[in-house]
Amino acid sequence: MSSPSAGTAEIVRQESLFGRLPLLPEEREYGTLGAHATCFAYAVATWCFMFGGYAARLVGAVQGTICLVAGSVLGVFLTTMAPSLACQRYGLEQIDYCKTAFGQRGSKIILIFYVVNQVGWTGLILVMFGNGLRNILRALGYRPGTWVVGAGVALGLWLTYLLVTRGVHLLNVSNAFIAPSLVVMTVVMFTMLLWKHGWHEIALARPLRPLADPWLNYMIVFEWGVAAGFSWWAGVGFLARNTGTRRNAVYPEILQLGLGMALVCCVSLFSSLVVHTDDPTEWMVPIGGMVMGIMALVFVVLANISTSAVAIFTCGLALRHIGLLRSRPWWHLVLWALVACVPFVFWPEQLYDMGNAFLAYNGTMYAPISGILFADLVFLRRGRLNVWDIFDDDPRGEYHYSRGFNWPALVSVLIGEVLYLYLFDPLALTAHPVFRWATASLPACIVPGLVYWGWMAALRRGTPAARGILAPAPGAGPGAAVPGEFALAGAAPAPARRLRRPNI
Amino acid sequence: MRPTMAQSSASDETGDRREAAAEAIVRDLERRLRILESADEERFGEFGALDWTVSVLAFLVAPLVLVWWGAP
Repeated sequence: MSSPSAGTAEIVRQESLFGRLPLLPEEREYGTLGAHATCFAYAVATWCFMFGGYAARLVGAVQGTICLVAGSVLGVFLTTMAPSLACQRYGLEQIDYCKTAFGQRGSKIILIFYVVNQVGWTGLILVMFGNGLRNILRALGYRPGTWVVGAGVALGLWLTYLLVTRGVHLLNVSNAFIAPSLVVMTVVMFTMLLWKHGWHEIALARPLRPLADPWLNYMIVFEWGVAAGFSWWAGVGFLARNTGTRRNAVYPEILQLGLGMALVCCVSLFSSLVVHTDDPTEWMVPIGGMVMGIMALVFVVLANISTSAVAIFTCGLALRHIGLLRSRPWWHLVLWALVACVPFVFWPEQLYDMGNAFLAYNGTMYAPISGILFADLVFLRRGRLNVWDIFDDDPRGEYHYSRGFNWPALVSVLIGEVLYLYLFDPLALTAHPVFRWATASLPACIVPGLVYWGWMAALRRGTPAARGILAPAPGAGPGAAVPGEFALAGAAPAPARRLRRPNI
Repeated sequence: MRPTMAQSSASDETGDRREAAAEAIVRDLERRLRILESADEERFGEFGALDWTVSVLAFLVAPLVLVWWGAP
C-alpha cells in the first residue's frame, strides 16, 4: 500500500499530465517533428471523409479542392494564432486561457460551445460507424434494415465508453495504430481512384446536388472549408501547450490541421464525385473493390471509435471546469458526455443529413470567439497575460470583470452569431448578397473582434477601474512586451505571490 | 443508517488525504506560476515580425487570392 505522501505526489502528477496545471517547458513533449506528426495524426481523422462528401454535393473536383484547401488553411490560421501563442507561452489549457477575455465565469459559456462541438462530432462520427457496419453487411451479401445504423451508434457509444474509461494509455495505443493506418488507407484509395478513373474523369465529374447558382455553390463550399478550419479551435490549445517553442506551436497546426486535413478531404471529394454518393462508407467498395473496399470499411469503422474516444476524452477533461463535476469520478464525466449523444441512436439518418449545418455551426460559434481572442491577445494585451489571475477566483482579480463575466466579449460573441445567421442560413443554404463575396465566417470573426477591441479600448480610457481591466496587477507581469513580437524583453523577477482563491 | 466507527474513521482518512492532495496541487500550481512568470522569454522561442508577415501572407492573403482566382 502506498504512503499518503506518495499518493499525494501521484495525484499532483496526474493533475499536471491530464488536468489543468500549466505545463512547464521541460514537461512539454513536442519538438518540431513531434508537433508536425501529432498535428497530422489529429488532422487525418474520419471526419475528413465527411467534409469531402459534403463538398461533393455542390461543386466539382477543381473548385472543391480550391475551396477546401484555401478555406481550411484560412480558418485554422484565424482560430489558432491567439490560443497557440498564449497557451504555448504559459502552458495553459484552452478554457483557462479563455478566462482572460471572457472572465472566470464567462469562460464557462465558451465551455458549453466546446462540449456541444465535441458531442456533435462524436454523434456524427458514430452514425458513420453505423453506416459502415451496414455497408459491410451489404458488401457481404446481407440486406440489413436501417435499424442497423441506430444499433451501430449504440454499439459505438458503448465501445467509446470502454476505450475512454480504460485510460489514456489504451487510447494512445489505439491512436498510434489508427492514425498511420488511416494515412496508408487514404493513399491506397487515392492511388486506386486515379488508376481506375484517371484525373480527367474526376475533374469532369458533376456535383451531386448543386444549387442553381454556381457562384453560391462555390462560396458555400469555401464557407464550409473555413468552418472546418474553425472547428479546430477546441484542440489547438491542447497541442500548443505541449510544444517547446512558439514556431512549433503555430506552423505545424496551420500546415497539418489546415493543409493536411484539406488534402485528405479532397480524396473523399474525388471519390464521392466519381461514385455519386456523399456517404464515405458507400464509395469504398466501388473504388477499392470487394476485398480492399471491405478492408477499408472495417478500418474506417475502427477509426471512428478511436476518433470518438478522443473527442469524448477532451470533453470529459473540459467538464472538470464545472464545479459540481470537478470531483466526480472519471466514468461519470464520460457517461454525461455520451448520454448527450443518445439522440443519434434514434434519429441517425436525420441528424447525419444535418451534418453540413453542424459544420457551419462551428463557424457560427468559433469565428466570433477566435476574433475576440485575437483582438484581446494581440491588440489589447500585446501578448502578455496575468497568469496568476487566471487561477484566482478573487473578485479583485484581473479576469473577474463584472461578477466573473466580461460582457463586452460575451456581447461581441452574440453579435458575431447574429451576423453569421443574417448572412447565411446553414439549414436552408440561403445567403445574403454580402455572403457572395465575404462568406459568413470571416465577417463573424472580424466584426466581433473589432467591436470587442473598440469597446475595451473605450473602457480603458474611461474609469480607473476599467483601466484595471487591462493593466496587469502589480507584480503580476514580468515586464512589458515588445508590440507584435510576443517577447517580454527586460523581464524582472516578480515578487513572491500566493493565490487568494485558487480555482484549480 | 448511521456509519460505523470504522467507516467514519475511513471517511475521515479519505477526506484528509483529499484535502492534502488539494493543498499539494495548489502549492504546485503556485510553483509553476512563479517559474512560468519569471522564465526567460528566449526559452519559449521567437515569433517576431517576420513570422507574422509570412503567416499573414501565406495563410490569409494567399488563400483569399486562390479563392478569387478559382472562382466560377
